[in-house]
Amino acid sequence: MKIIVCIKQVPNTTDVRINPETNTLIREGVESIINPFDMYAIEEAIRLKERLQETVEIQTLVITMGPPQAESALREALSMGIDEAVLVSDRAFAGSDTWATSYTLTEAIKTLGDYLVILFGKQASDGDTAQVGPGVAAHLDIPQITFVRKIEKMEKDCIVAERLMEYGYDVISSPLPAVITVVKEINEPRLPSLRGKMRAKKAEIKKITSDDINVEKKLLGLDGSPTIVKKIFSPPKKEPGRIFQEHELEDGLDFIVKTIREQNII
Amino acid sequence: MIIKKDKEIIKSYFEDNSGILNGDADEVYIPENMKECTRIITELYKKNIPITFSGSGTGMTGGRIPFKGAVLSSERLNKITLEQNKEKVLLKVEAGATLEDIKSACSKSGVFFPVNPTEETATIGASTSNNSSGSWTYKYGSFRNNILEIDFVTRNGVTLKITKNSHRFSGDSIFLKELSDKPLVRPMYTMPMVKNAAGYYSKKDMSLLDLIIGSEGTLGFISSITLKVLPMPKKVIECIVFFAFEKDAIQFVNKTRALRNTQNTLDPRALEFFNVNALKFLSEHHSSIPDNAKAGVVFEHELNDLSKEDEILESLLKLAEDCHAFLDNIWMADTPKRLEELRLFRHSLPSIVNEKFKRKEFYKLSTDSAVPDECLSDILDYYNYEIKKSGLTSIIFGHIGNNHFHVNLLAKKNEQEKAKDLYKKFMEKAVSLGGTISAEHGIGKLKKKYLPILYGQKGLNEMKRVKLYFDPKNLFNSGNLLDL
Repeated sequence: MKIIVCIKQVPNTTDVRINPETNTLIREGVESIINPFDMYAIEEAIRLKERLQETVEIQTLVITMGPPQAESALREALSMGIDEAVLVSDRAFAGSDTWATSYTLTEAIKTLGDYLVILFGKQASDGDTAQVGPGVAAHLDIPQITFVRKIEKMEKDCIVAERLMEYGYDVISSPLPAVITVVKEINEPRLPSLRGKMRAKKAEIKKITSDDINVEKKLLGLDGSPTIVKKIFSPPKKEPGRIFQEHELEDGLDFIVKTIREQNII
Repeated sequence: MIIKKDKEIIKSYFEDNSGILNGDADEVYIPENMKECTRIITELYKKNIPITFSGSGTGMTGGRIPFKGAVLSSERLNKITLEQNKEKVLLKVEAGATLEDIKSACSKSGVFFPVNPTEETATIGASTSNNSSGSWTYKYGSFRNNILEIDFVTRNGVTLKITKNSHRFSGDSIFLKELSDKPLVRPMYTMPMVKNAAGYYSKKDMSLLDLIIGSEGTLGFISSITLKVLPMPKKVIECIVFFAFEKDAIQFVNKTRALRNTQNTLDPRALEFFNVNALKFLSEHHSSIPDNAKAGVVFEHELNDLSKEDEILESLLKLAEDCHAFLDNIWMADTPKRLEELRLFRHSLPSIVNEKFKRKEFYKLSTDSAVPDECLSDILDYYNYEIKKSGLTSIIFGHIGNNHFHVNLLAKKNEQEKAKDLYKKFMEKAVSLGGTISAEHGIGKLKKKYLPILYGQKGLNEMKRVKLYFDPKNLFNSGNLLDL
């Protein structure tokens, strides 16, 4: 039985800069990393295997759709302790939005054999959509639990998990297989180990192209993506707030009233 | 030149990380160029006004804390020039440039300065005066080993350009005609053969450069410094190896060092240590530390030939296996992001301790001794034995590659005297093993009463003679190192 983790390679967000003329991401010299939320999914997969391996034989598998260089993200996951890695990569996938990505990933996952759960980070730090996990669940027509902060129980055919809500959490029980998206409260991801690194360097990574999966070509990549990006831009800089000291109380109140009036709020 | 006199404003110049609270001065001079700097030093000296040279206040021993007179701050003297020709890169900086500043200047040219004190806001002038060091000192030495030239402003306004070879002692003395018609005679003590930042450097036939570096501002002002830089390594690997017994960690370090002297590929730039209590403190914030780990060693290695990576990793794994490390739990970082994670992990320990210290959970004393390689096991055994006997809480961490530990004694209110006694005992033991009382923090005002342990009263008198040769009125950084 497999535990599958879907990951995405993203630019290290502390470095993200946008070219003001072309409105595209400046990628030169920016480190590529595993989407930080996906690290929790990887860690949880390894922990679930450790928890379950006495009763079920589990293989953990990490899969990503992306350009050939996304292989380094897969090797990083292997170095943390994931057993196998699959790279879904083809020029035909370029320009995929979240719908086309979920569709392609789903078809790739269908070729991988039986699985218990498919884990995702709650969202990617570059696109921030949080749509691909639920998209895969929909395409596969299996249940999904999003924003999971704790997996209370997991057996061969059932899972009980806590879903983080704005105030408190829900306890949800679901049959398996299911899609789980996780939040950072769920665990503390481990660092890669020396042995893991050495193993990961030599590991073979399975490659899947559009020819290996049962897809309608017109539903792939840019052509298969219903989302149209009209414009990307850096948000305008926010003016810093004003702080009035105690002795400026009168001025402060006048300023607030004036501003509210100007903005036609009252 | 900026001159500040308002006590409310200048009181920030009376602080550093030493905890000394009674600093005071009448005015702060902030020269904006070298001419102003030289002029004010000469003028103040003529007027018999004490001058305390001030960096950014990251020191641990009160070196920049004044008690009277004037402060001369290097904050506006921070020009950096990076000259690149085909052969090499030369990095010349003014005293007030910080480690952070040179790091960013260097990275643009693909080079780095190989000394890495933790406090990156420290100024280069102050770090030179203190002969500072960091974790890479294991491979590259301290500031003293990485300085090519300094400009040194003397009491009479003369700026001496000093390189390793420009001003050499002939045997025990040197003539410095700019200062006196008599020769300067070096202190005749023998320095410990370990990483050291205690007292004046002294050796037969030494360079004046080595004396000025580490003299803690007591002889004059280091106004600019030319630093050695190296090409940035292609890749850096950092591992943390955990052990079930401290003696296994010691064996790991000894074996790694033994390999360095052979033709082996393993040549780490840093070997750092956490003892069992340090790991316990860290566990409060990092749950992935193995539960039964009793010691951890950080191993940092540069790679310039990427084809050697597998060989290095295999040698390291073999070494860890020989020393009974937790083989499945050797943490490894080899990307900028992961390296930064490990750096934050390592540096979180002093912050965790300081946080508790600030909340007044205890009073803290931190040792800074180093001993010779062959005494590594002895000194740790001694620390452990004495700490157990005293019943004090402590953590031990630091630069194990240099046999240099920071033993933090964490005493409750009624245990302070006991902690002070133990602190002194630890220094005496280190010296008796051929070590030093301070390997990197320096002596400043905080540790000068312990300096006789290392050099005896005779040695101190000889240091005074050197001090008065450069500064007959005892005005420069008065109170550092010596009481006159």
